[in-house]
Amino acid sequence: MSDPRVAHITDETLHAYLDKELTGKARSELEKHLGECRDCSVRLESWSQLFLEIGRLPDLELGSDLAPIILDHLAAKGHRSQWTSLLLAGQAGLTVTLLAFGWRSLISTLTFHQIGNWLSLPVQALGMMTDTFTTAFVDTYIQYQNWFVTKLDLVIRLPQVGEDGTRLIFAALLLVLLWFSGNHYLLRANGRAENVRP
Amino acid sequence: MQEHSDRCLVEIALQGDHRAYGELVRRYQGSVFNVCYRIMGERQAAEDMTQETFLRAHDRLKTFDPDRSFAPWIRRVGANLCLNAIQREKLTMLPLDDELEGSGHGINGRPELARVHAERAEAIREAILELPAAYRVVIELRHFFDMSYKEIAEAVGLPLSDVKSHLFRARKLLAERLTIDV
Repeated sequence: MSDPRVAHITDETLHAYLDKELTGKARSELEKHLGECRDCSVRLESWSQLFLEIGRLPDLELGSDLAPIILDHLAAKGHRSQWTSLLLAGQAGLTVTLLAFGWRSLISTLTFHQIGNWLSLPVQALGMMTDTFTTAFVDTYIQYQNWFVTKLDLVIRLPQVGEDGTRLIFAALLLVLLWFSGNHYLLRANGRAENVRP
Repeated sequence: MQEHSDRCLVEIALQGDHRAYGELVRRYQGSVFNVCYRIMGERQAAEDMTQETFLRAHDRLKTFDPDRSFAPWIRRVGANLCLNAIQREKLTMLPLDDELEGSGHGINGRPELARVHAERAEAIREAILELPAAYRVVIELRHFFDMSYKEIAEAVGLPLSDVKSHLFRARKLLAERLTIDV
């Protein structure tokens, strides 16, 4: 049926042709070959038949109506999201209030000073000559920190609190942060629908 | 609510009317289920993914372009969810040698035409479901979503050459299992 001297078209190329992935010269050469080669034409027809049958596969019946289950989920989710919005608004309000009262104390007593000390630790680990360097480093840091806080003070005039107040605010901010993280995980858990077996 | 168009139902659903969305679910749950079934290869998993599809689609309903048809959009959401589910379970993506060998489901006998067609369709469905997940996915996207090789590569995150070889091998397996002489 087929001439062994003729180079036949590979199945992959036939697939590409049926998938309309061959264009231009490749397509016209293949069509020319198909017009001359019965073997390739038969194979093309077989593949074409299979492709057609796959594409025309009839749909299976679902068996049960999923709409009531999905709507129940949506209703429960809507209820949850109302509470979530209120909770998030409350958290945001609390955080802003805490920061408004405590930002100056937090910056001056905790953040900058601590950062100066932490950054100096690897330098201290180097040896004898570094004591002077460490002192200079921390002093410079504190100096800039004071400059920064003074500048901020000029721009934003907000209430100031004492040392005890700072501790309280710091503790409250930590709690709010934990609360936020907890909510994040809860939201993620709620976001994933628990599928109900119909 | 039957007389409403999909576009109209989407607009009503966007205003918070769950009944309108319920109608959309009733209209398309069957076709979404079939997409999920062909990709997941298992009825219960397909039903779960169908539910998940409509819940996710509801969240993203604002992103739906009302000038386009709802049916392909929701089917695509379903296909994407199934793809993600399969890609999370990398092992099932890999074609196993046992799976590749196949058993060959021939179709014998030629009684009434309708029954022959039904049996043939069932054989094709079974053959598709027996394919490794990676092959089922490319078959679904090519034959049911009419996507080009390039679009499939982008959708599944595979090189173009892998898409071609997956498609080729999947079809070869189908042909073997359906005892088509090619």
